[in-house]
Amino acid sequence: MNLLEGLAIGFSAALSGEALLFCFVGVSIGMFVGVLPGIGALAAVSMILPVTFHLEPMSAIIMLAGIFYGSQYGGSIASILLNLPGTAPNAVTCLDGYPMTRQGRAGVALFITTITSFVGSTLAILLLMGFAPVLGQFALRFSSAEYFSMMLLGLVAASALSIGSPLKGLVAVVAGLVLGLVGMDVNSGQDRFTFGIVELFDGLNLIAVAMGLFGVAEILANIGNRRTTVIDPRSITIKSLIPTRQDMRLAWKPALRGSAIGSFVGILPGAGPSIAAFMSYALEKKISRTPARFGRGAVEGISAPEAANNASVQAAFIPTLTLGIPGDATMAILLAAMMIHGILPQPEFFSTQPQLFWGLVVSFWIGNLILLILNIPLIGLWVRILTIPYHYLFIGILFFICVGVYSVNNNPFDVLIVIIFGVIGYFMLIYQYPAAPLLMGFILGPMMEEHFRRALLFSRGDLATFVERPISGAFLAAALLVLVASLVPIARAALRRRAEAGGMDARSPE
Amino acid sequence: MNSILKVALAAAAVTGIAAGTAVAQDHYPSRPITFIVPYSPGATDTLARTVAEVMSEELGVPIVVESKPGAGGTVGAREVATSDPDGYTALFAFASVHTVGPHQRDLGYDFDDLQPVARVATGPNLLAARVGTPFATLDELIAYAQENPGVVSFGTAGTGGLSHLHGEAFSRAAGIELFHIPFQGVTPAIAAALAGDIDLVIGMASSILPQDEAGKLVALAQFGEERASVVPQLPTFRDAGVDASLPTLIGMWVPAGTPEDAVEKLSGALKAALETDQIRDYGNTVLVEFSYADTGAFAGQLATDNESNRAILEELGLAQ
Repeated sequence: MNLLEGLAIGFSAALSGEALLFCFVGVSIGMFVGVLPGIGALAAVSMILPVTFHLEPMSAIIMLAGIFYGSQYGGSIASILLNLPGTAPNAVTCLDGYPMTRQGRAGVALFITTITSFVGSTLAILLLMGFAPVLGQFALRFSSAEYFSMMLLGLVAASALSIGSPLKGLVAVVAGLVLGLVGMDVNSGQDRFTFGIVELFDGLNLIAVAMGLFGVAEILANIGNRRTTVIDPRSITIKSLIPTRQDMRLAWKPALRGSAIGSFVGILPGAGPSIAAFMSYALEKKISRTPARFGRGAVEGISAPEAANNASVQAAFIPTLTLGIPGDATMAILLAAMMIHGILPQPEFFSTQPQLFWGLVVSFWIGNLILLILNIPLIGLWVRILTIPYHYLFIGILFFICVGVYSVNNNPFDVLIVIIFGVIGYFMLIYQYPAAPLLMGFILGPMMEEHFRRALLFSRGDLATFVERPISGAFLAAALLVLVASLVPIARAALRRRAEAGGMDARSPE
Repeated sequence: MNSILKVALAAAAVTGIAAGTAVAQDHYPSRPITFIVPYSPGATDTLARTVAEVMSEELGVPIVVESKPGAGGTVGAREVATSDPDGYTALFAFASVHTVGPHQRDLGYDFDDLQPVARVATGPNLLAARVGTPFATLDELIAYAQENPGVVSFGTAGTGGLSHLHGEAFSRAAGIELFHIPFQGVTPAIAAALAGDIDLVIGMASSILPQDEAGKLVALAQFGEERASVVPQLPTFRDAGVDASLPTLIGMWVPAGTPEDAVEKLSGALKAALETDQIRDYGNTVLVEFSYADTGAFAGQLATDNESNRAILEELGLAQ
């Protein structure tokens, strides 16, 4: 069957009244839970799942999938307005999104992330339409050695996430790696740094750490300020909400690169949108002619990661639909939902049930279009949240943080973790240690260890496996290149400083 | 005298009324029951919700299913073990929280702190091979592994988890040596088997069978006592002459000290629910072998498993 025939089948299925209705309901619920920090697609999908038992299989899957990708749109809103990442990938959006808000450009930031999210999703959906079976097979060639080398590249690039002192950035990465050690070691089954606390067995809760370091720390830092609102209500004009031509010109290329990285990472069931967002941000900063603008409200710093995380979420349907291998817990529930409705995803899915496959894929795109149309008029409304006096606003934010974090595991222990990391984040803010590299180390550390050791189990202890496998070797070479490229300017600056002998404290370009 | 009689009569009446109220309160169940599922939302919690819906009709009170994940299910199990033993809080989980977890670390509860109610299901857990191994049946696997000790690798959902222990128990019973590779959950293990990185994978039928039907994995055997009705075509270990029966048990527990009649009521309602067409059809769809066993039989099976798991964990150096 060719693409056009497939699209024809897909559109006729996805444009039926029932399919459109459930698509709309799904993406609306998704967007809503995405806006609420902490409460994500996982909770929503699992709560809605039993309701769908009585629906037509296609309507059920369209709605559940809509919740999943719809939540990605909402997630950036709290990050941009309040420095409050609802999920880990949104933490990257905080880096430049929140500074834009402080500059009175919250509307512009929301506008750009909405459009780039749509761009990212669309690109990934095109891949899904054209190449899903091939890409599914490609994903299988990614074994632990490849995952490790790719993540090493990510970690090396993490230096780009910090502004200011590279040394402090390094300290933050290492602190993140160390915190990632907490919990049961996958290989030996032994507990590490759990101090007998059963809740620490699975490690520290990622969402709690992210919300503490970004959201709570920001609140603590602001409480003492006499500033009454985040931005001046009078500064909100129609013009201030719409990006300038210059903004769009800066945003579109990073959005395409972000979509490409996001699609690539999304195809791999073991990576996830956080890595996509972090990597695309790092890439933009590395190739930018003005890297100093990053972290201070650069448009590229929000358009790339938002395109990446949305592309990644859409591309994650590729391994799920073609291999029956879900990339994360939410995808696993979607897969379970398909099974309950008697659909078994596999490579033959395309030919055996073309109407379902194409209907689903086309509905993704329609859902994204609905999200785009829904979001643009809402921007003005969201920005108005910032006109609430801060001493009222922060109580509301804290309330949502506590509810959101609690809802992840239904366990008050995680609320305690948020508070502890809020205090840590506050001191990091004061002493100018960047939080993003810590989060990156925290996410990547445990995954890298797991894959490193598993790759060695596969090769029965032969370290050469990392360079002998071509994809892994290429990633290692790239990591080495990035490392050298970032060390050269530092070394040069050090030499120059020595030559100048006791000049001003020159800040290295990194 | 008269007044004394009056008082006595009044007291008797009051006591009688009080006794009557006590009886009314004793009528179990008289308020909603909470089932705790100690895992992230997904297969098991959907299973619990489906069964709870039917049980709630049997018992005449609503059943609230709460998901309380963490530490392989032991966070939720601890919550049930330490809650009031009144029959209104029950655990719906895999038996590993009862017969494996407490041997590995101090969890705040022990084997004796949970009272079994009844068995819900017996897996089935399957052993499958990647495509392209030199063996296509269980017999061939055993013959090959005997000639090549430690060469054949098997992937499981984690070190010290039930499928790891069952894999070790099987290889001991078959007199072979397999190479264990742990994963974070069964999905990445299946992906590794599809990619050819591992030779064998152990997992529930719901994750293995679709891959087997698509020709991406070769299901070799099932771990249970008897052939499960959802996979009648696969041999058990006993069928192949290996003395091992390692069913993956899903069941219900209440805190130790729960009144016997409450345990009986729950067990009876569960039995009735599992006999309905609705649940039977659901089991066939999600490939779960519903198999009721009453309180006594389930408790006996758990006690046996508890001892054998302890022995294997000690041998592997994973016991606390």
